[in-house]
Order: sequence, then C-alpha cells, then structure tokens
Amino acid sequence: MRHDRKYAMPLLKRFLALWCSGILIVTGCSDRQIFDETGLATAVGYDLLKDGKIRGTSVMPSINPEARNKIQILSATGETSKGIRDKMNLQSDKRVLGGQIRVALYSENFAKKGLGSIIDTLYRDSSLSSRIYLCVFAGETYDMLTYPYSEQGNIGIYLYRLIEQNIRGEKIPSSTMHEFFRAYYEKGIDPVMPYIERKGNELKIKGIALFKGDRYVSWVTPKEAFLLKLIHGKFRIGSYDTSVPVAIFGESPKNHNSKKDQVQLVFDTISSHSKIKLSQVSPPIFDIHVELHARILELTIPLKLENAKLMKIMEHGLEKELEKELHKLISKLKSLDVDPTGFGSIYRSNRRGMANMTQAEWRKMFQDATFRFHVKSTIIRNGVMD
Amino acid sequence: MKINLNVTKSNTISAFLAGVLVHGTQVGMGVLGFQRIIAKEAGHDAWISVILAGLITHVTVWIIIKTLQKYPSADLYGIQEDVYGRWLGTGISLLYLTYFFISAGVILRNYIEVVQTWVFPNLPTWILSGIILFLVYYTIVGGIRVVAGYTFFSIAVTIWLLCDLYFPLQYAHWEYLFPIMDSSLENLFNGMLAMSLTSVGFEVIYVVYPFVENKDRVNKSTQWAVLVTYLAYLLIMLVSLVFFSQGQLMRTIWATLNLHKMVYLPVLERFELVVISLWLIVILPNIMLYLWCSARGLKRLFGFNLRTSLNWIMPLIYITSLTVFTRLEMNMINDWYGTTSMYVAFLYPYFLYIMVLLKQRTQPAKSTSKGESA
Repeated sequence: MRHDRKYAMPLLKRFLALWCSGILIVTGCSDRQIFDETGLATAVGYDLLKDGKIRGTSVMPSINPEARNKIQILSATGETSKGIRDKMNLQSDKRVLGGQIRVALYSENFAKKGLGSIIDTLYRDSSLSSRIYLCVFAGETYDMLTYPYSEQGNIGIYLYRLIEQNIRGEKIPSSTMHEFFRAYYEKGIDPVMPYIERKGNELKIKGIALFKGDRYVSWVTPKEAFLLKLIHGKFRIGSYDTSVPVAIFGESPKNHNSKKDQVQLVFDTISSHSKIKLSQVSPPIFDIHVELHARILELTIPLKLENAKLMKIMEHGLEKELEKELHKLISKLKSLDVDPTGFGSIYRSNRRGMANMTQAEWRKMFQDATFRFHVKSTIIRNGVMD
Repeated sequence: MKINLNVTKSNTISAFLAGVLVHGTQVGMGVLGFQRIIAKEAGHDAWISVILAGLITHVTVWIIIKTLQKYPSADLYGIQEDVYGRWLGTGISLLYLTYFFISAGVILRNYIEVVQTWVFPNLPTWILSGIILFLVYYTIVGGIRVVAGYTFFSIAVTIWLLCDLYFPLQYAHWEYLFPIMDSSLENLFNGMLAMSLTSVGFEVIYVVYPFVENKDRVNKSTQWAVLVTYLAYLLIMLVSLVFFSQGQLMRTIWATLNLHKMVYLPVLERFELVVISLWLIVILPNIMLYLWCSARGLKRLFGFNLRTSLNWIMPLIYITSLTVFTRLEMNMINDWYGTTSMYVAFLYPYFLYIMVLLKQRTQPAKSTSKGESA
C-alpha cells in the first residue's frame, strides 16, 4: 500500500504532466521547414516594366540530382515584391523562401524611379538577413539572371562572392541592406550600391552607383570610389595606382616619347585614416586631413629608391595627385548634387541644434560648401628591392 | 497578519543572490527595444538618458532598502499594513500585487509577440504561453531558493550575448554621437522617463527582503546589481546609436535584435534566431519573480499557501495571455505599463519611505516581531 501511495500522482498532477508532454510533442510539429521541400532563393532581381509593374526574378539552387541545370529560375510580375513571391510559388514545386537571399539586384531603370518602397519590404521582413548586398545592374536583371553562364555555377552565390571579395579587398564600399537603410533614413548622407554590368559571359563590378535619396542618379569608377572611402573611412589593405610626370624625379625622359613622360606608380596595402574638420560654419568649409601609409608595389621606370629624397618626391607626387583627384571628385558630386561621403552627418555632428536639419537644407549648403584637402602620405616600404 | 516574517534558515537566500534577483528581473523584454523609445525623446543623446535613469534607479533602490531596514524582517505587504492600517494597507497591497501580476503578463505577451514576429508566425499563442507558464509554475513551486538559483543560471548562460556587439560595432559611425548634449535637458529627462519600462524589476526586493540571510549586505549587492544592469544598457545603447542612423532607429522596433542580425559566423548565420530562443531563459526569471511576488502577496494578505495562490494566478494569467493584440495595441499597453511602473516602482518608494518615517516617529519602531498590528 505504502508503495502504491508513493507512486500514485494526484489527478491534477497527472493531468498537468499529460498536458505538458502533449504540448511538447505538438510544438515539435510547428512550422516545419524541410530542406527538400523548400526552395531557397539566393539572388533576386527586380525590373520595372513599361506598364509600371515590377518583374521579379529569383535564382534558386536545384537540389534534384537528375536536373540538368544546377539552378532554377523563377520569374513573375506584380505590383509588390511579396505579390511576386506568391506568383513564383505557383511556378515552383517547392516553397520559395527568402532566408538565404544574398544579393538583391535592381535594374538601372527601376533604380532611377526610386527603390524606397521595394527595399522597405526587405527591411520589414524579419526572415531576411540585414547583410543582403543590394546592387544596381546596368540593363534588365531578368536577362542577366537567366543568361546561361558557363563557369559561374549558381549565379546568386557567384554574385555574392564577387561583391564580398571586393568589399573585403576594400575595392568598393560596403553596401549591405543595413547600410543602405542607414544612409537612406539619414539626412546628411546618400546611399551607394555596387554597379554591376555584364559583358558577354562575364559579370563585373563597373563602379559604384550613386543615389540621391532612393533614386539612382549616376555612377562613379572604382578609382573614384577609392577616393570616396579615403575621404571618410579607413583603409587597411587598399590599393591605388596613379601616374606622375617623370620630371619630378629629376630625370629627363629617356626616350622623348610623350607617352613615357608619365611614371605609373602602384601602391598597395594602403592604410589610411581621415579627419574631417568643419572650419567654418556658413558657408561651410571642411578641412579634410587624410593620412595614409602605403607600400610601393610597382613603378614603370627603374628608379633607385635608396635615395631618401626620391621617396620624398614620390610621396609628394602622390599627395598632389590625390588632392587633385579629390577636388575633381567633389566637383563631380556637387554637379550631381549627391553626398555619398556623408558630409551632412559630419556637419550636423559638429554643430549644435542641427538635429532637425532637413535634407533640402543640407543639399543647399553642400552646394555652397568648400572642401580643402590635406593629404599626407608616407611610403613605408618598397618591396624587397631598393 | 504579522508585519515581520520569520523565515526558516533552510528557506533563505544570500545577499548576493538577492542582487542576482534584482538584476535578473530588470533585464528582460525592455532591453530588446528600448533604444527607439528613448531616442524618440532624447535623439542621439539617448545614452545620457540611460545614465540619468541609472542614477535615479540607484537612489530609488537605496531608498527601498532604507525603508526595509526600518523593520527587522518585513516585506512590502507587512510594511503597508503597519503604515496604513489594516483596510487601507490591504487595499494598497492588492493594487501592488496586481501590478506584479500585470508586469508578468506584459513580459509574457511581449515575448510571445517577438517569437511570432521573428521566428514562428504560425505558432499558436496558447502553446507557447502554456509552455512558458508551466516552466514558471514548476520553478515557483520549488520556492524562492529555486527561483534564485534559476535566475543565477539564466544570467550566467546569457551574459556572453554582450560580446556579440562586436559585430555591429564594425559598422559604427562614431560621428552619430556628436554633438554631445545637443538635446535639451527636458528631452533628456523625458528620455529618462521612457526608460522606466526597461528599468523596473528592482521593486521585487520589497518582497524578497525577508528571505535574505545577511540583511546588512543587501544594500551593497543590490547597488552592484543595478550598476551591472545599467552598464549593459549603456553599452547596448551606445552601440545602437552608432550602428543605426536616427531615422532608421525610429523605424526599428526591436533594435537589439537588429544588432544581432549582423552577427555572422561561418557555421551560423541569422544569429537573432538564437538570441530570441535564448531570450526565453532571460525572461523566465522575470515572470517567475513577478508571479512569485504576486502569490506571496495573496499568501500574506489572505493566508493562502503558495500553491493555492498559484492555482488562482496561473489560469488567470494564461487566459489573459491568449488575448490577441495588434502591434499598435501592444505599443499602447507598453506605454501605459511604462507610465504605471514609473509611478509604482520609482515614485511610490519615496512616498512609502516618508510614511514609514512619520509612522515610526509617532510610534517608535517595534524591533521585535509583534502579533496583529493596530
């Protein structure tokens, strides 16, 4: 009897135990997402059609071993990105999910009309990563994603690696969805994205697309993108190539060919940091102090670099060249009326009571602003050869 | 009702664990999304508001301990009966007990909303709520020692989440913090008030106090607990301010989760899902302690034992949690709860302290436990 009492549970307790184990079993079945039954899109592209509708194209890896194509491409038109996804599901044997999207592409025409609304849905959807790379494609993304590339394999992953590799290598500024949104909702800075083009079988990053608000306006070359980052940012492993006149080294050109008057210099492992000072408030004057350390990697005339004077000359040549290019870039940005470097944020952070500065106010001030560059370069190494 | 409690030695906790309980109850749902609410008032100076709120909390906790130390071993319910008399005391205690109950409900409901928004949109509320409340019930029945032990465990296994802030820091724009002190004092003050939802939790010490073994060290350990809480808040706030632009932060409901979205490990992406799952461990002590305080209240006021009071409370909170709320309603509830908790947890302790002082001036403190109070 005593034994029985020890193991007998009161009714309530028994009921509770049953209820709990029941719940635990039932919860195991909630929201299953079986890998074989889901189609994980790796890249999506959006185009604007002539009738104002949006065409979405998504790339999914095909895990069917019998399939001839390694990827599966779905395309649908609709008014919204989620509407497009619903239509894509009608074409697919698997449930299309966005959790693995790495790259979102927008056609140039679409980007010109403004991307705000369609990117908004990306940010709102908690199933998507914040680290999605957004880019602009020169042409229709449908054509690009459906093109039968011979070597790239899964085009979504390929694109992702292409962008990732170049961001890591500090060739282009980072452009994750988070950074796009940060710039988009900030009054003193305009967003940027990589600008991608296709040449035959090859995809390449042509440059950096500049946005004004959520509208694409123009693009700049990777070299200019380097300068953008030099103004406001840090380099650890950047690289830059430039040319300076031979004359500054005190050497007369060996063969009097006009093309050889220039010496090509290539610098790499550039580490830099910049300091932007607001020297005058109205109209704004910015003093940009850039300090950079570089290693010389290549030069096209055989110079003996043991001479400290020569190094000084080379440093000076680089400084002058960079300052000239920076001024050129700034006047280009002014004519486009975009501020991808975020001078507006710096202006706001250096003045009190400007927290409510509007974008329009800043654009006006940006036009009147003066930028003074002070570049200081040090060549710390010159390879294994003097 | 006896004003002072004689807790058997086998049922006491150390002063250190009392601090753990305070810290564990403070950190909860608020920290997932407090950035936006404070930045709405104080802009990019929100971190100053966090410091201000921290200072106020330190003082408030100190006052609470002072109040408790006026008695040898009394809790909130006993003190209130002593100060206000039988009927009024019971009435106010009932209100306070309801506040504890509502706190638990708000936390539970908020967590379920996060899970349904971020992880399982289709998961029915009744299952999740049922599981959480079962765990809560199971732990509370074990008594305060088990709850304290669990709280310690929950802090120990989740404190490392702070290290993840390294990932969003790589995207930091430090100029977002400048100019410092750009917001007016009024805005900073409003920001501080908006912190209240995130700050509260320390008021559980009112009920836990009689169970503390070495009462002379409670003051020190609770102050440490509050300090640790606010250092963590300050860190999270600073990282959020440099990671998000102001306009973006205003649109981000759970900024802390968005911070964790940037965490990226070779074998593990989408770290926010891990954080949300781990957050269950963080919020369980909150719900446990609040419900325990509430059940203690019933026991003290009406003499029910803990299990009986829990049998009343648990079904009630379960049914309440099943009500469907939209995001807007949740915002309203959180705002309302934030305001209420500000009065209950931040202002009321000062009032109670003054009342206790007045009472003991007219009627010298009874150092030995006395039977029925006047």
